[in-house]
Amino acid sequence: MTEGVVKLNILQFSLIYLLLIIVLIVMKRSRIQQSKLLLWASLRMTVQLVLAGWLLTYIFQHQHWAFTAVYLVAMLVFAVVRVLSKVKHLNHRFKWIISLSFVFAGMFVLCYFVLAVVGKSLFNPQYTIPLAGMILGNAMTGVNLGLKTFCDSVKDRRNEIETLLNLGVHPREILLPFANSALETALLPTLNTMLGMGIIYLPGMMTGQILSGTLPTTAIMYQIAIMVAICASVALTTFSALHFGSQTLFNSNLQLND
Amino acid sequence: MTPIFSTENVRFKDIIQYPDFQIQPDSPAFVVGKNGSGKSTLFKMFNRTLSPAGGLIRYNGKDLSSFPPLDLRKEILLVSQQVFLYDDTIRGNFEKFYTVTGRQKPSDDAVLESLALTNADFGLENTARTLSGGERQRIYLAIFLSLKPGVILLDEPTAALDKESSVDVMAQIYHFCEKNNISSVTISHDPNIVSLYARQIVRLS
Repeated sequence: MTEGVVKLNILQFSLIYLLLIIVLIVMKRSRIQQSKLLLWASLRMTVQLVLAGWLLTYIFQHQHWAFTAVYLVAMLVFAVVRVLSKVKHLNHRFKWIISLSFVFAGMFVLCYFVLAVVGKSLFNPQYTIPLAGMILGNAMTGVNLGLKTFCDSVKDRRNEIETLLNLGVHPREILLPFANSALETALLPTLNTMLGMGIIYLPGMMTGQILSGTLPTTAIMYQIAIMVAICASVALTTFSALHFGSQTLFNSNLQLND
Repeated sequence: MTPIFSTENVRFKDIIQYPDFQIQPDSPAFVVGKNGSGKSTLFKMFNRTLSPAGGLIRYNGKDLSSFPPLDLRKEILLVSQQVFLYDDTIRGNFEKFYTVTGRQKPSDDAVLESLALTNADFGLENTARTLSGGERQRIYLAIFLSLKPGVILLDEPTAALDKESSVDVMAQIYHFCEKNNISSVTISHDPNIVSLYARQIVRLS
């Protein structure tokens, strides 16, 4: 049957970095001048994960609801700040709506997963922290993609929007198809991942659970559950960000805001 | 007679100060002036897709801002300089514009009749993408005219047409407007068109 994961000692662990030499050689031969980036990215990843590891170990050893809560809030803030940094030109109300979409839609899916499906307390760090990371992280990617698609098409098709406005069409009706197709673009990567799952690759969470000794049958249930939760959080967060956010692009005289 | 439009002390964004003027129901009326004098902005304020920073615009004697914007835009139809057509056939374009404004799809005869107005008989199955700039502008004008608004604001309607066809197309447009009781205001850089058709001229400096 399954056994617990082999605990890596530092020497064993260091061996993995030797693979980076292969990447460096490939880069040199292909004249890709990114060897500095490779080293910097590897270093950053190591430091960030070591810190996260220490922090999580501390939180797991000293279980207290406040630690989980603070970790969760930090994740939310980080996700919101990352998304907003990519859409600096949007108006303040739009940005608020994006932030609230994250808080409400992301938290709703997380709560549903942890409380209703797993049946644990939201302040249980072992479940809440990794699940929140996956749910919020993917929602962030989805919202980013959706907002970028929406903003680009509104900008590119300004003439169409103005023409329809001149014809007396309500701006809400004009912008709805833009929001809908941006939502579709945001959802497609998640849907495609679901299609390939189990055949093309074994997803990270499931692999991790199997490595640590969980029965594959349990691992797949978690994997399916997290994929559905990710899909729901991408859909819900992007939908509310775009549908409510797009309403901020026009004023009460049904004119476009600059 | 009540003027169609009259302005008092109208300003836009502290950039443009408009002179006070009136546009009487005696069409065709023209708005002329140099680039940057705010002609297109004036049209956008007339259909309330922009608001003045100060002053008063009256439409048929009533404060323009007292009209619901969507109804007003259907009544005072602005045909902007930038031509927009859907990536579809000419017939498809008529259908889309009619549907989006809540109208029944027009019959082929009605479409052909409208196209004849701007000498745009290029075949209903031709796609808009394959047409030249001038051809696209004629289709665009034909679609907007066929909606038969109360007032039509034409912003550089012949910008993409050559001189001869401009004169011809504008004659037909103004004739159509007169027949259907549509008041028209035109922005034009073409002195020939202005001198041929203008019954009144507003000059912006």
